[in-house]
Amino acid sequence: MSAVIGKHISFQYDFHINKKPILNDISFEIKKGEFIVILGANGSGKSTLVKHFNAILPVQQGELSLFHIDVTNEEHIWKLRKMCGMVFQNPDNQFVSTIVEEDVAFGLRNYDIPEEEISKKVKNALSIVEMDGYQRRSPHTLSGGQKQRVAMAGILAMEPDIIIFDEATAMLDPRGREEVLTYLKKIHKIGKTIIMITHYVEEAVDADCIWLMKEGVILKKGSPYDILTDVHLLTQAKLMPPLNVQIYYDLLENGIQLSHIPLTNEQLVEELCQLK
Amino acid sequence: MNTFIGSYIEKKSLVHKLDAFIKLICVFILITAIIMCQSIYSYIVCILFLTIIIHISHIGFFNAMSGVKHMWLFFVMIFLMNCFFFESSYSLWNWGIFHLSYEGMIQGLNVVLRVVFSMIVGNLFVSTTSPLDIVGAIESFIFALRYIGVPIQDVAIILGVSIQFIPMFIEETDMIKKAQIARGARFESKKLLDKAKGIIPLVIPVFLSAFKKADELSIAMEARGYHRTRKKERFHHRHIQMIDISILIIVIVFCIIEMII
Repeated sequence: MSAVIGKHISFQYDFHINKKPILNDISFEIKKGEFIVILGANGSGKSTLVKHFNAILPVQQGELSLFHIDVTNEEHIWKLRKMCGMVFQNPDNQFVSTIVEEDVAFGLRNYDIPEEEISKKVKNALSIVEMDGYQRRSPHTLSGGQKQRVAMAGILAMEPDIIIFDEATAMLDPRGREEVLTYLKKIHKIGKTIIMITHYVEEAVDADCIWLMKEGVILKKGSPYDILTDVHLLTQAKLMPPLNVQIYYDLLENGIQLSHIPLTNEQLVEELCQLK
Repeated sequence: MNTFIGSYIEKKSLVHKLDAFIKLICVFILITAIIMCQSIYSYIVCILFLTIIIHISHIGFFNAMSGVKHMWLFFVMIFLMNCFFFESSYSLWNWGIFHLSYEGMIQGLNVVLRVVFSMIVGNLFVSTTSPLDIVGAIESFIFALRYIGVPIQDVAIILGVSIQFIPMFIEETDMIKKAQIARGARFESKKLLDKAKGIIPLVIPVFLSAFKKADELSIAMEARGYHRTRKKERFHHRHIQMIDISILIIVIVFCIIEMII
């Protein structure tokens, strides 16, 4: 079943002086339960594209539907925003309350969910991201990774089918990034469709499909292996290949040929062990 | 724990458990009583009453006073202005437009004490009430205004979020200030002109950051279903209990005592 279908989407901001389109005739399809990573340099149109999914930005040209619900129909806006949650880059700018459980409940209260149900859903959402003991804490006293986990719980509580992570790891330290990625994978395993925006190529290794974006167009869609090992393509998109891929080519230059291009550390270790 | 004004302090106290709406009414009554303070006895009763509230709220004397100490210069100014400009039939000392009088000093002290006590009451409310409860209480308080077209939910959420952002902006201002000092800004200079010059590079980044934060927060809130066109019930349905009513009565009695003495 298709979760998102977009056809010929174009978009440009009114305030851009040169009126250059941010999105230029993009078409795509995302299947239910898929884990999509959108890779691209700053200004490539990644965030602009996903902000169309929950009608934060209006569709100017083209067609877009979520589970066959037309995004352009204003009557469906609130339904769509409940179906498609979004975790943003800076956790501090997402909190509306200074109490974790109240912040997680914010979205639910907007949808007039009864209080008894709210407390159940909040508890459940916090347990998924393993923040059970932090209900009465202030989000501002938590670490970066924990803050993002609370932001994730706030979205999970609304039980959306699709969750978008808009550079949700960009402001975190390596440990915080690891935390967020761990729970992101956990959320994917419980059946949610995940769309993750990042410019850290290493974060895309576990995706079902990668979209590589540049200047408002999708340069290529493909498996992590297809995209991340194509150094030429990544360079074209103004991105660096993953470290393991760089090591592969460095070894090759020095006359050492590995049987496969490794994407993960484990694969690299395995390949190196085979050389013995 | 060192807190800024506007921070909610999580404690299990009677004051924390009170209904936010009742607490807000109590705040108004208390401030009214404070404004009516005239005699030394009324101030003593007021100090005793506030001390008891601070004690049972478990937030600590220092936290209850947070914000007051940052405004000492303001209080000194108010006091001096009253001392020297209060119109009185008998002056202790005269010099040009300045007339130092006993009544002026009393008036200055009155004003300063009233502002300080009112700030403590406000701080007690914010420190013992979670932001969403504050939003709910404000919403209930201004509920009647919806009949004249005031978007009460928006007003309430704006106030609630603003309160929550106060400590963040204080922290951010401090951070920007330190960054500017590292680049040669003269905030510590005693010269007024240098100080004024130093404020400009501080104000611009703080404002820019505020606008960015506001923009990101509004998008995040929209994405979580916050909107004003939809008809919905108030955030919080009030569950007023006997203890809330009892506290309200105590506060009213306190106000009456203040009026009498």
